[in-house]
Parts: sequence; structure tokens; C-alpha cells
Amino acid sequence: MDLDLVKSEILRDVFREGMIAPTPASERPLPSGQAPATWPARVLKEAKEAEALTTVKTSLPKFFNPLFRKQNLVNRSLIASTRAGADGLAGVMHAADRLSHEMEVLRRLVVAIGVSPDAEGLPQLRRAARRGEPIVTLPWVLRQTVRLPTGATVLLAGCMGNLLNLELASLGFKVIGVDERECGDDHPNFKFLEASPAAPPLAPGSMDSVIAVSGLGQTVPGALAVQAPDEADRAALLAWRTVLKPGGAVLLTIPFGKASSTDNQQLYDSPALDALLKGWTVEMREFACCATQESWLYPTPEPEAGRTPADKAGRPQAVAMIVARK
Amino acid sequence: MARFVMVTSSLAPGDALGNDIRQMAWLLQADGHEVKYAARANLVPNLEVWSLTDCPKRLASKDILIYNHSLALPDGLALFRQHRGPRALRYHNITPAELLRPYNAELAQGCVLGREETLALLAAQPSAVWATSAYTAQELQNAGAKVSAVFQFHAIDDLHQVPPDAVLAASLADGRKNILTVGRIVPNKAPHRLIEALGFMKAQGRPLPRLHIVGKVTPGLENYAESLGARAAELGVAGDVKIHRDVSLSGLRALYENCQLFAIASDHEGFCVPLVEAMSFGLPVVALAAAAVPETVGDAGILWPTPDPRVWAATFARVLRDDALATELGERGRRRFAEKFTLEKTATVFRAAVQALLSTSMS
Repeated sequence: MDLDLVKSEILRDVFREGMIAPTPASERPLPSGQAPATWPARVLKEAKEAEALTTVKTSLPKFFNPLFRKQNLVNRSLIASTRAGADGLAGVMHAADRLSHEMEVLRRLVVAIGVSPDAEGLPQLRRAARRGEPIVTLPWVLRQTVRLPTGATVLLAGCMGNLLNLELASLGFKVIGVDERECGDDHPNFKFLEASPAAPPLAPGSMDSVIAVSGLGQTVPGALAVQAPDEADRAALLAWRTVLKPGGAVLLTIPFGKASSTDNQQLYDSPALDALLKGWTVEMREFACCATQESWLYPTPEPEAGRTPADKAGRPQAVAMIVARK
Repeated sequence: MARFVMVTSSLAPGDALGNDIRQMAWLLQADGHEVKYAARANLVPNLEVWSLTDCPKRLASKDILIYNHSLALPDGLALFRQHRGPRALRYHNITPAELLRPYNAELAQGCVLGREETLALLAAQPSAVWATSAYTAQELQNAGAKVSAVFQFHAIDDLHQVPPDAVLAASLADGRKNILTVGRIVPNKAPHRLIEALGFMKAQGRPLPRLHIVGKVTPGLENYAESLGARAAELGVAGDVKIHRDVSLSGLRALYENCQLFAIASDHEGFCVPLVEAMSFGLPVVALAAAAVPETVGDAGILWPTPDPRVWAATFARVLRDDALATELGERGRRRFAEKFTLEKTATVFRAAVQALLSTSMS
């Protein structure tokens, strides 16, 4: 008897038998192809602008990936593909399946523009979103923001891969997002700076907090296994420390597990993490891991997370989540 | 033949520390050695035990010290440092202080001091270092120690030899399923998580098993033990949670034989003897994959990396309704016990460790 299979079945029971919160009304199914009456005017305007993309109905899978590189175009293609019906949505899912880090963004965008997650094909998208670490790291970051003063100034180091910039801004934080690509988001509490997230062009001691979701642990192709903190990561942490006020908090999520590197990520293990955080006052050191192929669980004991290797595709299956003070 | 002196903070019948020490002593005696005990407190009747203050006067320089380290013991540390003969450091693990601090700051501070003493004991260059598991061995190795043996004795043979408590056994055989957990009722062993899972089962309208929590309450942590009953009442499962604070060996056997599942959600275990007891009785095991638990259970139980009560509730429900799974887990447990944890196998490891220690003393 395969106990891993039994565990997967048990987890499916957990979700199927209503042990999680029921689906909110906003996520209930809508009639196929029907635009909800509550679509914001801005979304409708963008949808109109994006009508040129209606060819996505037949060819979305082929050109969706290039579009992904520009988030504003992603938004438009999503809208267009939604209008195109189930075939278009299949294209979104196809892209989502291949781009794990953006899956959660896609899911949220789809929900944000009012499409039912239970529409044809969308369960596939939801399943895809469950496989990536953002399913646990993003809620964890939001949970930790209770540590920050109301209206705190927050540097979001890297703001393209998720909607955290808008979520934090909506919660009243003064958010400065730094990334090498324009995210195209507007909010009275959000300001975008085009620069390297690892070297934010901000005054020393100006931020209450720095948040970096999966900002560390990125590596160059073919790098060797992590034995010591990567130089680039240490340099980035130093830069973030500089812009923090005394006592300011850094919130980090870092790929963790049995030390190894893939083409674009390296996994930190406990000794490497210890070395990376030297000099910081660590307030919280927590871990989550992918217990089965599709479900992340939190909290996970550090030794268990440390034994978790990346999956066959090189995606981390455990993550370290750190709150540390300057 | 040599004379061994077992040094420990306390000797009590029935706990993991006491059982480990007594089994080591009996094996040494069986091999013709003389064994003496030195402890700050002794609860074992009819056993001659030196006080730690008297011990230096009674110790001969060629005596072999087996120092059982489980908490801060300044007198013991001084003794260990002063003794010129061979000294084995037997590390039984110390609970991380942060797990106790919310309930008793003084006990937590004791753990901090205990861990500091671990470093001091290692700095005194023991002739041998013995750990209870690879997990505790790693802890010592992280402090720079070379661990020469890993083993943990138990008193499972005694448990299998006493007759089961017939009254308790009859009360368990009323058609309802029973879940068992065994261990001191302390926050680091976290039996409250099992109550949370039971609460979830009730909320979901699943068939509700009884939960039997077996263990003594550590003085100073009565507030934690009391919180268990209060939480069970909040969740509406007070009548389904039975706390056995003083169960006899016969009673324990009745529980192992008549419960359908053994669960443990500890944050910290240096080995976890009750898991091995459960496996020896073929009881299906569900456990939190923390500290030494994964290496003790191996592939013989369902291990979760999370204490999420929803997951545990679903696991309990599955094991209790799936006879094939329960049988498979039970067989795996029995097999693992026979392959890894019988007294004979542990004795072999211990005798080799003693032999190495004796060689050191002769050289």
C-alpha cells in the first residue's frame, strides 16, 4: 500500500468534505460567456481596447507567453480571452500551467474581473495555482503586516509577480514598488520605481519595512549547490537594511529545502539561512512545504522542510518565511 | 570487571529516563559489572542511591561514570568535571525552552540552563557520547561532539508481560473507536492538537471516537493540563476526551490492546518510546513529523508535516473506517519494532558502546 497515495486521498477529503471555508458568493458560477453587471468601467474600457486581441480565441496558446512579459498586456489578454469564452480560457490555463509563479496572479485577476472560478476549465487553473509557493507565501506576508504600524512605508522589492502592491496599498500602507519592469498598477498609496529590486534608489533609513517575496534565492543557470549565502543575496539584504529605519522589519520568503540549485533557483538549507540572516534580529522563522503535489501546508517543522528537495521540474517544494529586524 | 556509576537528576519507575537507566544497569550487571546509582532524587523503592553530594567521597578514580543528562544539574556537572576516570555522556535531550515559556518561565529557564550545561559537559571532553536518536546526535554534533553510539532502551517487554486491566479493557470494547496518545501532559507534546482534531470531527458530524490522553502532569505545568479540559469543553467534546494521569502498566496494556489508533503531535521528541510501544502492539500510528519522530516511525505510520487539525481529523476518520489501511499500518509497526527496536537489538548497540568505553579506560 502506498502511504503517500493514502495521504493525498486524505488531503482531498479535507477539501472535498467542506472542511475549508465555503466558496464566497463573489466566486459563485456565472452563466457562461456573460459579463457580470459589476464589471468596473475601467475593465470594460480596457476590454474594448483589447478587442484587437480577439484572435486569441484560436491562437492564444501560441502568443500568450510573450504577452506574459508585460503585465498590462496580460491583463488585457485575460479580458479578451475571457470574452472569447472557453477556448480563450483554455489558453490562459495553458499559460498558467507553464508559468508557476504567475499562476496565482492569473487566478486573482480572473476572479477580480468577475469570471466564475467554476466556469469551464477554471478548476484546472485553480489546481495549477495550488502548486506554486505563492499560494502560501502571499497570505503569510499579509498575515505578518499586523506587525507594521498603520500606514507604514513599505518597500516591495519586486512587484511584478503578484498583486501584493495593490493589496498592501489597499490596506493603507504607503507602498513603493521597485522592479525592472513597469507593472502598470495605479493606486493612491502606490508608487512605482523602475530599478533593480536588489538596489532600490531610496534614501537610507526611510522605510518601515521591506518585503521581498521570492526575491532571494534566484541564481544563474548552472550555479553550484548553495554552501554559503549567495553574494547577490547578501548584497540585496545589505541594500534593504540600508533603506530600513532602525528597528524596521524585513519580510522574506526564500526557497528552502535540501540544498540544490536549478536553472533559475537555489534552495537554501538551514546553515545557509543562518549565515544569510547573521546580523539581523530574527523574530519569526517559519516554513511551509508542499505535502503532496498540489497542497502546501503551514507551518512545517524546519527539519522536515530542510529535507524536502525541489520537484522534478526544479520548483522548490518548501519555503522559508522570515521576519527580521534591523 | 568494572564498576559503573549511573549519575542522573532523578530516578523514577516507568518514565523513559528511568527505564533507559535501569535497562543499561541490568545489562551491565548481567555482564558481570557492578553498578551504583547517584541521583538528586529517587522514587524507586528498595534501590540504594548515593546523593550527589556524597558521590565524590564514594567514587574511585577508576570507576566509570555514565552521566545521564536531561536537565540542568550543577552538582552533577561539577562531579563530571572532577572525575578522573572514564566518563560517558548519555544525552537524553532537553526540551527547547520556547515551547514551555508561555506556561512556566521558570521551567523554560531550566531548559536554557540545561542546554548550556550540555555545552559545558561536552567541553569537559567525555570519553564517549551516547545519544538517543540520530536527531539528538545531530544536536550534539552541531555543538562539535563526536557521538559514539545511538540507542534508546524501553520497558516494552514488561508491558507485554503484565495482564491487561480487565475492567478498563471491557470499558473500551463498547463498539466506539478509541484513539490513544501517551506521554507527559506538557505543551511540547501538544495533546491539545488531538483535541482540536476531535473537535473538527464533531463539527463535521463524523462518527466520534474517544481520545485517551495518558500521562503524568509535570509540576508547574498544571495550567496547561487544565487548559486541555477547558478546550475540550469549548469544542463540545469534553465527554469524549479521557485523561488518564496515573495509569498502571496493566491499564496501559489494556489501552494499547483496545484502542484502534495511536496519535502523537509533539513538537519535540528525542526518541518517543510510546511510538515504539504502539508499534509493538500493532497499533496504527499517526504522528507529526517533528524532531526524532520520523526516524522512529520510519515508513510504519502516517506522518504529517503540519499539525493542522483538519488534516488530522480527516486522517483519524480514514484510519478508523479503513480496515485494510489500519491492518497494513499495524503490520508495518510490528515489523519495524521487530527489525529495529527489540531489547536484543538495542542491547547489542549498547554492549558495543560499553566495550569501546572499556577499551578507552584500559588505554
